[in-house]
Parts: sequence; structure tokens; C-alpha cells
Amino acid sequence: MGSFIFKRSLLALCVALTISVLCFGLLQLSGDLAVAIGGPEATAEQVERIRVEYGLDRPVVEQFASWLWGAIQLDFGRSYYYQSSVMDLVVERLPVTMTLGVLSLAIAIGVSIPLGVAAALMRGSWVDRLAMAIAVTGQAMPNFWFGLTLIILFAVNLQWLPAAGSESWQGFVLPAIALGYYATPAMMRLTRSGMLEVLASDYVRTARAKGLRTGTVVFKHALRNAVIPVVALAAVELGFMLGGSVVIETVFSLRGLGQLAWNSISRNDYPVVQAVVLIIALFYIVLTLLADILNAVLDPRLRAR
Amino acid sequence: MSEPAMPLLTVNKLRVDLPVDAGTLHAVRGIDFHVERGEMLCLVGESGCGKSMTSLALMGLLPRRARVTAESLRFDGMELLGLTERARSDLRGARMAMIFQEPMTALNPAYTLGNQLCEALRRHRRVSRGEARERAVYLLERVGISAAAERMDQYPHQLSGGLRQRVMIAMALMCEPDLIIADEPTTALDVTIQAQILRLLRDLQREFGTAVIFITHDLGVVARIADRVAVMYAGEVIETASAEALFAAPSHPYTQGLLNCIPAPGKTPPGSRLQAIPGVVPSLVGAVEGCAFRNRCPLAEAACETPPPQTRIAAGHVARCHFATRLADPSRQPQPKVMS
Repeated sequence: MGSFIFKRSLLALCVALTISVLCFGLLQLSGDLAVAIGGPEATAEQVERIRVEYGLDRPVVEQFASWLWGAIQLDFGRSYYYQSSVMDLVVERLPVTMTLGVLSLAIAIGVSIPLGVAAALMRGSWVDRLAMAIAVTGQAMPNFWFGLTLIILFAVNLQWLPAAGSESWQGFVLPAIALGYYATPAMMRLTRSGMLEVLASDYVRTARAKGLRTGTVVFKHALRNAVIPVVALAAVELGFMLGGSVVIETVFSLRGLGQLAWNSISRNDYPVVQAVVLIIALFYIVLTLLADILNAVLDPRLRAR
Repeated sequence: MSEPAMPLLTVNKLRVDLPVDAGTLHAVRGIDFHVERGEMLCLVGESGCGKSMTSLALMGLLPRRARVTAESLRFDGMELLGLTERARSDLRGARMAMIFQEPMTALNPAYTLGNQLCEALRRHRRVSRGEARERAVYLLERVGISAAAERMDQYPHQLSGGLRQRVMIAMALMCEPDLIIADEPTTALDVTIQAQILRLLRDLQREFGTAVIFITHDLGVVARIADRVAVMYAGEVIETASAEALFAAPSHPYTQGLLNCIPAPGKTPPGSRLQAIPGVVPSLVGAVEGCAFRNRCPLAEAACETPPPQTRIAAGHVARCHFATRLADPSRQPQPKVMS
């Protein structure tokens, strides 16, 4: 198990390095940064001055090395727009995004796994059809539109919950539902198909031949095996939700990382964009690593590899 | 009034019907047989003859869409038909256990052997974890697994097929059941392992006095282990006899055909062709009229359009064929008509 974790961690580190190169490179490809920062009315001398001031005149490799060295020490430079440290901005916004992501994932898991299990156990029944309807609707609806619908219904008409803001927990309810619903269909379908497969397996028949109670057969013997791929998917979905919260945070005016990234793109605030992209990518990597480890805990056959 | 000891299991007119796209599949068509306490009954037949369906019906493990009917299914004086699912599950694993064909997939990959062995006992008996573990280790040793205590913490994927089947046997024995149904337990194993497992099952069956229904398509296996044999064809039991009587005087043309499929060292001349039974099993979707074997039978006559009678050959030897009496007597063997 120890060597398994070590190998996976090493792999994750390589992926992280690759992403940092891509992350830096993409910005270089987006055009002359000094011109973009200076704006349309800047003179040639002003652009030159910006170029020197921001270190953009140095060779690309040197720029990358100094950016990476800073990033390792959690120093992403200063924001062009706020004139404060990028890290401070990120630290301020991160809790909002994390809260939203974790809440959304909790909602997605809480709905999709029981629903998937019920649909598989009662295949072809109204429960199964209802689950399918929920899945299809969730896949078909854009999440910003679903978010707006929630606002109209629960914030504007019923006035049960606030439409915007992250000051109180109530502010998180609607965006977490909107984001969680987005992740539900895939996880629900995977649970359902996994359960159907496992329920027809020889070892579930063995469990029944031992006279075990239906609950033991379904939860101990079937779900434990059916849920293994769902764990991997859930980790990917959480990564997705941290990144995908850009849209939802904008719709619900939550001061999270997504909103910061969105605003920084439109303000040409490159150090912030770079930092947010890298941090979200790193979350993704860490989550995938955790999913691998969790999978190995759940499936003893994986540990041997 | 003194009665002879009641058989452990009596099956009376058992039918299993499965709805399929084309209609209803009559997988088991009204079979009768019984199992004495402590005996090894072999249920023989080719694939699709209904032997696995019969075993799953006895265990109560058929899918809900399958319709199981019978005049009676008496197990140790108790009628199984009409029992609630809960009552059936109280019997499963405790008084009747099952060993399956595929040892590679019959164990749950996510749990240790110890966990899977102990849960059967702890479901049915009030025993502590330690006691359950003790019994599991004891049985693993009894089924010939070395270092049993260490094996308890291993996972199924760390064991070979032969070892896994030994674990399955130990698992079936956990609650000391009266009846074990073994559905082709050696078919998926290497030949050398097959012999070991057969021996093991035979020895344990005698030692524990457990009755075993051993399902197989292999008459070679039957010859080695059976006390009695029931031959199935197309969802019916067509011949029942003690093992000796069956091999000495097979009284159904299908049984004779099966026996002719086995090469006999010293009897079958080297290089000669083994006799295969020509033709295919009839479809069991919809009604089957008359004798189900007649389209493949070398003796088939007009009489075979009518259902064959249960013919008693000797005590405990019954065959379901119009010509059973003649077939049983080698001096009066009917001549098969020449097929053109």
C-alpha cells in the first residue's frame, strides 16, 4: 500500500509540472502581454516601460523559472488590478469555493447513490423511471439556467433564501443545489449500472445462498463493489465543480475563486488567472490521487499492482 | 405404525417456468426425486436439461420472474413451498448450502476469506467473532488448506481456483447443513484439481454425514462418487437408480447413449470413434408432446408420440421409456432400426 501511494504521488507530481508549463505557455500564446496591460491608448514608450517593469523583456524560460520558483513558495506575484499579493486574494476567496464544492458534492452523492441503488433494485418500476427522468433533465439543463430558475422560484417568488452573497450559509443553498444537480446524473447512472451488474454477479448469489439478509446482500456485498467506480467519478466531479463554479459563482454573486478568475480574465490580470488555473488544476490532481488511494482501499485487487 | 425413515428431501412434480420473448420456457417439467440423509445423489444431464434450475429452485435462489410450482417440496418434514422469503433465508446456509460452478467469481473480491466464512455462521447461530473464526480456521484446515489462520486475512484474488473451491466447500459446511447442493463444482477446474476436490467432497460428506446433491454432466464423475443417480433430459428426470444399477443396466436409451459417449480404457478399441448422440435437445419453449427424446432416439416408434410411463425396473430403479423393461434386460435388447 505504501509503495502504491508513493508511485501515485510521483505520477501526480509529474502531471502537476506539466500543467504548470501549459498554464504558463498558454498565457504567452495569448499575445503581447505588455500591450494588453497598457490598454489601447498606451504609447510605445509606455508599453516599453511596462515591459521592463513587469519583467516581460526577459527570455521566456527565465520568466517561467522565476514564476515557478515563486509558485512553489506560494508566491504568485502581485495582481495588476488590485495591487495586492495574488496569494492573499486566493486565500480570501478559496473558502467560498471549497464550501460550495464540498456542499455540492455532498448533495450529488446524497441524491445519486440512494437513487441509483433504488433504481437498480426496482428496475423498470416507477422509481427507475423517475431516476432516469431526473438524470436526463439534469444532463439537458445548462447549470446557469437552472441556477437562475432556482433564484426566480426560491429567492424572488417564495423569498425563502437569498439570491446572492456568501455572507451566511443560506447563500450557499441554492448554488450548491444548482451545482450538485449538475454532477448527479453521471454518478446516479454509474451507481445504477454498477448495481445491476453486481446484483447479477456470482458472489451476490453466494451471499444469498448463505441466507444473508437482503440488507446485508445489497449494502455489504453489492454496493461496496458497485460504488468503486463512483468514488473515482466523484473525485473528478469535485474537481469539475471547483473549476465549473466559475459560472455558478457569477450567477449567484459568490466571492469565490471562480468569480475571481472570471473578473481577472476580463481585466487582463494575468498573474491572478495563472494562479487560479494552476491551483484548480492542483486540486484536480490531488483529488484524483485521493480517489486512486480510496479505490485501492475499497478494492483489494488494486493494491497488488 | 412404524414407517421407514423419511427421506431428507422429497421433490414432487417440481416445475420451473421462465417467461421468455417467444413464450414460456418450461425449464423443469414436473420432476420427482428424493434424497436420503447422508447420501450422495448425482443429478446428471447435458447443459440446458434443467439441472441447475432444479438446484436453484430448491435453494429458493431463482429470479423473481421464474415461476416455481410443485405438488410438494418437503425438506426434513417441512414444506418449502409457500414459505416466506424470510423463512427460506433462515434455511439457506444453515440447513441447506450450495457450492457453485465458478470458484473464480463466487467469492466477493472486496472481503477477506475470514469475513466471508464467518458471516454465514454469525447470520444463523449465536456465536462470538472468536468462535466463528475458530470454526472457519478448523474447516479451512479440514478442506486441506495449509496455513489456514493466515489465509483467513487473504482476499480471494490471492488464491488459485482450486483453493477458492475449497474455501467454498468450507463455507458451505460452516453451519453443518443437512444438505449441500454442489452445482458442477469441479467443471471449471484443472483435471488434477478436479480429482482432489471430488475426493474431498466425498470424504467430508461421509465424515459429516451430509447429504449432497451433486450436479454434473460427467458420468465419469458419477461413477466415482454417486450413491444414487437421477438422469435428466429436457427438463425431466428420465431414469433414477443406484449408481451400480445405472451402470450395469441403463434402462433409458438416453442413459445408454450417455454411457456410450465415455471411452472405456481396454474396451474401446484405440482409434475407434466414440458414439455421440445424434440430433439436438428439443426446444422447451411451449408444450412438449410425448417423449422428449424421440427425435434423437434410435428406438423411436409411433408409441413414443404418447408420454412414456414411469417404468419400475427394480427396487429403486425407475426409467421413463416405453421400452424400459426390454432395455434393462441385456438378453432382450431391442435392435435399433437402421437410420437411412
